[in-house]
Amino acid sequence: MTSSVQPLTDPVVEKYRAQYAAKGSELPGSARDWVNSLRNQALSALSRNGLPTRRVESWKYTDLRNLHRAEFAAAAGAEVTAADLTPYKLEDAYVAVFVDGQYAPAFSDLGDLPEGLSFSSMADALALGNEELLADLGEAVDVELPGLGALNTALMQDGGVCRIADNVSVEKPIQLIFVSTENSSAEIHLRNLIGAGANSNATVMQSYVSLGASTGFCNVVTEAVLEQGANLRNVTHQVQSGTAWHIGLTSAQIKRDAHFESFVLSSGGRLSRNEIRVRLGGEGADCTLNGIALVRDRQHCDNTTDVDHAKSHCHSSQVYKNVLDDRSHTVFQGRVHVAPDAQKTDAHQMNRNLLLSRNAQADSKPELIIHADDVKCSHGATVGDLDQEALFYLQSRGIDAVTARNMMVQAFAAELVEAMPNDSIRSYLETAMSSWLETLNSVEEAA
Amino acid sequence: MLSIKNLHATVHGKEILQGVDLEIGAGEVHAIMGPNGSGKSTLSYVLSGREGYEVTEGEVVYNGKNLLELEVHERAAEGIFLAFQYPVEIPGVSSMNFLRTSLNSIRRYRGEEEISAVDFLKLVRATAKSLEMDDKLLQRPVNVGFSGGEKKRNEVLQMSLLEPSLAVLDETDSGLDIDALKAVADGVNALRAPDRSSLVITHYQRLLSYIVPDFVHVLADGKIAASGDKELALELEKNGYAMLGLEDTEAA
Repeated sequence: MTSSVQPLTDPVVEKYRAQYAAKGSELPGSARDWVNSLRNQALSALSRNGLPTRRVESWKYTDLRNLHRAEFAAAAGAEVTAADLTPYKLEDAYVAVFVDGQYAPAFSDLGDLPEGLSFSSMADALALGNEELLADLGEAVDVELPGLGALNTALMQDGGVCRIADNVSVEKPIQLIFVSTENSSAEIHLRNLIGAGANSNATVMQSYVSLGASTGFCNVVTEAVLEQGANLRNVTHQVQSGTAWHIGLTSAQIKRDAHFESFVLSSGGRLSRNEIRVRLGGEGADCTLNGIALVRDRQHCDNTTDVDHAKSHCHSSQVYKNVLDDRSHTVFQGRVHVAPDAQKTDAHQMNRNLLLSRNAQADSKPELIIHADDVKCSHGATVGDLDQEALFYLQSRGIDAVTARNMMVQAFAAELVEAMPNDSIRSYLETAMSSWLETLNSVEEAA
Repeated sequence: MLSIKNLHATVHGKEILQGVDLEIGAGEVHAIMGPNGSGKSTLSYVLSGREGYEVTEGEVVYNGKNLLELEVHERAAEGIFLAFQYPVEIPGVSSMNFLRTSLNSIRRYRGEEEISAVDFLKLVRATAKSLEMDDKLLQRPVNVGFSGGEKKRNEVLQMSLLEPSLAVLDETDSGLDIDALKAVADGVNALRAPDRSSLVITHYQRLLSYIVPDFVHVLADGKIAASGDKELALELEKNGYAMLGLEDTEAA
């Protein structure tokens, strides 16, 4: 039928459709109609809309074609020992470990969870059809938007589900560690769901790590729903191997007077993206989105944010700092949308880039769309290299060139880490930053 | 201690130093005066090893070592201290971390033990007190939010902590009121010792009333044009650089 006009089918989408047709029944929750229906809706959205290309504004700087060309295997499941995980475990935290995308209770350290905090692996929750725990699943993710959210919903395998009951304050952080084993080339669709009850208070940390080289692909969606007056801090550390792929989407619904805080430290992956979408959907809601990307070689790291000020008296603040060496590339796209009746909005955004190499490239694109007239909105971006005067000053006091450079890089990024109120997370992030600095090129090579 | 012979140096391809000869013995205080653009600051940067200041001819021997072969931080560890004309503000680097890293780097280079956090704190507080410097300043990032005088005091504080054998003071008097000038001079004088020398670079005689030099040199057109004792500085003050047939671009 050469005469009829057919939409071009995307072979990658076809591959995923075939995969779902063949293996969908093995996915968790396949015995539950409502789970299947959620997956099917997502799959048809994916078929209709396709995968994001650079022609889509929000994906302008990040090209997924190489990702789609890459071949991924089923999870390798190499041996892991408890000692392998020690460096990544927070002190004094509830820890859930996932190995190659599967919950590993043997490595987890959940102890006795305090009253009002529930945890389950996503696979278990889906299989058991735990509708109470999964009440918000799919609530915050719009599968029609360009991105990998629809793919994730269709193929989600495992992840962490945390629910904090109303008025409960969880003192210790909850940490989800996602480990790729050595030589893993698995494609993994992780789904996390955090439900923060009214006036609750909690900190969740997600760590994405590789034990040795990995060429896997991690597609993760974290959904968070914050009820009235809730406080949720979500800290992400992505330090996968430099040959891995990481596409992350965090989607948060913030209700009246609730406060959402996100911090992302990325230093891993050949290509990584941390997209954060926040809907400030109740008066007085508030979000703080901060991030640091430390990249080198030919790494590509994209931080894209989208903050929707839907109601009045909401506040959003964003600070993203990137340190780039070699031929690396960072992207910051910050979109702020202020609805017509979102008066008294206060929205600020800043992106700073420190180039350690002449061959690195930082793209920065703020986008403010303001439909209200009584608002305070600002944005800014800077790109610069190290202050040579300051470097000379430090060296003239006996400090060698590498230490001086590292002090300056640390100074550039440290304020965001220093502001972290939780001691064990702050010291974890400080260690992560120092380890990155220790493996930086010598000053001569960088010049 | 320091022997400079026929030193030529260029900045951005332009020859600024055109054959400087200078001998500084242990325990001596030398002053270098001269009109603006004569190469005074260039000399201080060449001695401290700043990038972009290229030595094209001549030699500098410091305590028997070829100074020009050493990295910037090695020169500092060997005992050369440059007090900056314009101390640099470094946001994000805490003063205390900076001072301790500096002191311990130099100690490590010399094969000495690093100073403990407690001893370091005591040392810094005592030194700041002796310089009448508010140690609250040291809770700030390096030089950030310091007044001109506070920055210069901070230079002297660093000098006192690092105890250099050769202190190079680059226009330390510029922008200082008389009280700050006295405090800075007192700090420098307190360090005077038979095994320590200073090279005081200044445009005006004023500072030399407080830090009294053993020798005074006039640098002009990249060369030492005249040398003498402290009387030379006073004559220059009275008669201007014109007495040496030089044009003073910043006549007082």
